[in-house]
Amino acid sequence: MTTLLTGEPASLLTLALLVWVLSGVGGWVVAVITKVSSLIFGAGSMVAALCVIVAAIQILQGRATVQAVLPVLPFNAELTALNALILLAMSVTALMCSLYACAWLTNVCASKRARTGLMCNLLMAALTAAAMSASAVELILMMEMAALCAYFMIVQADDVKSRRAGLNQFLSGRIGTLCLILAFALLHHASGSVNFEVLRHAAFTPGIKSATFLLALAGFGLYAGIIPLHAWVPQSHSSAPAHAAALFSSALMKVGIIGIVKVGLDLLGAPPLWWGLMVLLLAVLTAFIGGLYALMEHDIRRLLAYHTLENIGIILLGVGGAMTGVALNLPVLASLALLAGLFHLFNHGLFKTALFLGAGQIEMQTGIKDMEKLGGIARLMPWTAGAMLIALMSMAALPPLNGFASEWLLYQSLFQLSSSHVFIARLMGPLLAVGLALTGALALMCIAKVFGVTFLGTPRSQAAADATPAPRAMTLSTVLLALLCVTSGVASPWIIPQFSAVAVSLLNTPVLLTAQHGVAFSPTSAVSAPMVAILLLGMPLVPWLIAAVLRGARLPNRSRGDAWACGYAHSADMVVTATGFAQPLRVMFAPLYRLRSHATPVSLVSALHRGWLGVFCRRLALIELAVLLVVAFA
Amino acid sequence: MNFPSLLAGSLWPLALIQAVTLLAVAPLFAGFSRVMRARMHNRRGPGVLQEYRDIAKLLQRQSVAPAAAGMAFRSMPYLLTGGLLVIATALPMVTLMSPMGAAGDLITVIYLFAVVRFVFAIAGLDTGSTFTGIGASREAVLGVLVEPILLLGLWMAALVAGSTSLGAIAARVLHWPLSSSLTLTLAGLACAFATYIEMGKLPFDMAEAEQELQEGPLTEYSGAALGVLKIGISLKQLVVLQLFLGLFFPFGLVENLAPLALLTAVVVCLLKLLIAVFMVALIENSVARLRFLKTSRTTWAGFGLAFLALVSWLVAG
Repeated sequence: MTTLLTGEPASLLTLALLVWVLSGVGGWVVAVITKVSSLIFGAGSMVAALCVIVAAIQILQGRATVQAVLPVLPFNAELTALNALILLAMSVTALMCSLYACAWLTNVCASKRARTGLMCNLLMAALTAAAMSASAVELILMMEMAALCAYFMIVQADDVKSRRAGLNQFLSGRIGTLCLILAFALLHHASGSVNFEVLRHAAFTPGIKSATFLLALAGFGLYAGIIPLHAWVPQSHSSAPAHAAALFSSALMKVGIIGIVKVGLDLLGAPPLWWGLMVLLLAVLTAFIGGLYALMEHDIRRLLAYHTLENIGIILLGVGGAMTGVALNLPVLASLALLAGLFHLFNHGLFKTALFLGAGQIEMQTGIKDMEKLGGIARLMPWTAGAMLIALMSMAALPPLNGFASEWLLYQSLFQLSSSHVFIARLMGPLLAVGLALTGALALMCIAKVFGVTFLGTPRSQAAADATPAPRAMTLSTVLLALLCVTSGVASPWIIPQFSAVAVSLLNTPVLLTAQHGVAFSPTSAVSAPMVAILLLGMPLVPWLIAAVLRGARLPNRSRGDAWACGYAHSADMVVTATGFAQPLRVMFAPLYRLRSHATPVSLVSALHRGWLGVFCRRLALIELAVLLVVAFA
Repeated sequence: MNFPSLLAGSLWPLALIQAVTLLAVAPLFAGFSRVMRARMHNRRGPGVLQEYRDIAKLLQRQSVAPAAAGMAFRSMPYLLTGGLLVIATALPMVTLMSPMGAAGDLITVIYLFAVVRFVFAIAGLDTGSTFTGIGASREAVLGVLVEPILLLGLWMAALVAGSTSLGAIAARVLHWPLSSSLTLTLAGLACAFATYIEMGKLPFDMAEAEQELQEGPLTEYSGAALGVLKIGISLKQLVVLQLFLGLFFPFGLVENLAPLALLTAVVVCLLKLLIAVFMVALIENSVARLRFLKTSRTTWAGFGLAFLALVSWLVAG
């Protein structure tokens, strides 16, 4: 037992896994005692997440051996910088989700508490194990387990929508796993091993490499939700509890992305050009379609899920840029793009978790998911509103927040791509930048809609008017995440070098100088987020001073009465709704919206959801999870 | 170019001075365009200084807001003007280099415009009024239509210059590279188109369309808040105009800060703005407003120009 308490990364990670599983089981056993069980679930999970954070920081600082067998557990771990980064990104959000869960679990019935608590802890443990696995068998096993835990959290709401979402997730998860098994079976066939370290040094024929990459892209893409493989994403984020949905976005889908990075850049050696270009095209499609569909959603969590897709696209732009950079032998492009992708991956976890947790609070306090029925929440839940405003602004990449910091780097890497000497790169660079800018404008419209319709104006229903602030632990979790968003944005010049080191360690490129003295820079431009922050805070004082100086005998501001309505009496029905706000774009992009119904064959969907399959899959999932748990512990 | 030295340069007082100067002359140019409009309508309107008189009067009056309005509505005029002032610090106005290199990068500037648009839009949603809500929606849609044009146009100019920093683009355009003439011309035209839309003039005054939307997001503003907002909106027109002029007409910008050269640069800068405002007024008063849902067909023309710039750049290789 003493090996667990040495403070080494490997032992800390083991400790975390054990604490997650034990606190999950412990809380499950005493689920009827509300307070105790919630505390066991939440606090246990927080301790475990803290252990992972400490371990990840130690690994990032180079204080660990790369290959390690975890003490006590029969698990081979690979403690590389890339793995440490994803562990850090996942455990920071897991920490906040657990804080939120502490309060949420006390407010639900015993059976729901037992199941959510146990599954959530198992999910985090499985994802952590997947992120540090050293062989394909472990990786696939753990991802499968995580997907099954996710399935059980999606279906527990037990309405038609949740059951359909669960079925979608179950089927795409299994197909994904199947693709991954095929991909690694190919590699095993060619090299005789599934161990990553062996695969890394094995030589494969181009045919095998490409087949493996395509299979792995499909498999990991199903987990990551690359459009058109995203069918499971939107509704499952809305059906699962809010903190579980946050974990789907910030951890489960990210493991898919890291898988693509691993296969595309790490295991198979230098990628050919068309891999990178294909990933770039898929990425820009995912980002654009995700942003476009998000705009038409009224259910906050479905909307956020579509935005997760958008951000997955943005991260993949970085990954694809890195692959293209390696293929074209442009080290600056490769390292800058990978740096941007990884930094955005981290940032997305922060702001998206804040948003899901905030949405969960609103849902808990009002019982409403549909934002058309909300309104005026900012006055009733000011802390939640403020935190969500910051997170929303990060999501739309507004300076000086963290979304901007990483997207700025991404634009700079696209600029490197545009100014290379290969025709296809010169053609695609500017167009990808336009795609990203268009996505950014769509995101801006979307956050204006979310914030304006949900938090501002007058309440549109009695439930919204009666909202009260959420429990303190919940509010604290969102506020802390919002603060992290601000920090990671404003302090980006000091954070970027850490991410740069990870990118460099993966690509074996010379160290890229990207930040110094509070300024982040690329070979072609520079930006200082702290300076922009100071200016943005200071400049509004100028007009304020002018107004104050010329005040004269002005009376104080007055707020009274209704808005002007051409002399008619004002009625609540006149106010622009979320649908009305996005209506012009529905008209302008009508062909793209019709695409959704064209691309989904009705006969297939109705055949899938005819009833018996759902029940069958549920039983299958239970059996599979039980088998996997036994296998994992054996 | 060495970026850290560029940022630590001694130009930051100039950045603040040019931002405040732009703020101070914004109502003057608005007044000028008002005079132009009266002349073109064959009537004798109020003088050039009328905007200053209006604003001074408004600043001494009480702000009245509907009961539903909150912080977003109250703070918007200041945040909008402040955001535009931040952009104004980064523009190459009299110096070839962006005086605030820390923000003088085309991506940063485009996203700073997004901040301005965001505060404008959410203030429109904060009042519970129909007109402000629709105005907010239109403002955001216009962003979706304009942003690709602006980005691609600027991106092409940046590719010719080999850097995305505003100063580098201005310097490159000043020493007009003959081989890239077509690319720069097309990119400039595309940016001119986007700039004109951003200025919110006819036929593109979508968000504040006077006839049908009663000034859109501005509808519920009154008194001091409206006064500040009026300065802010005329500042926005000057800022987008100067962004275009500074990058595509950098003639007269100085590299070193000798007093005489600086004075000439200031005069040239104001003159260029005056000519631009004159031309904008000519166009504005000779067209009718577009139907909102048909705007997207017109903006394709701008994107087409930017795309042709890309094609010419690829061909010239």
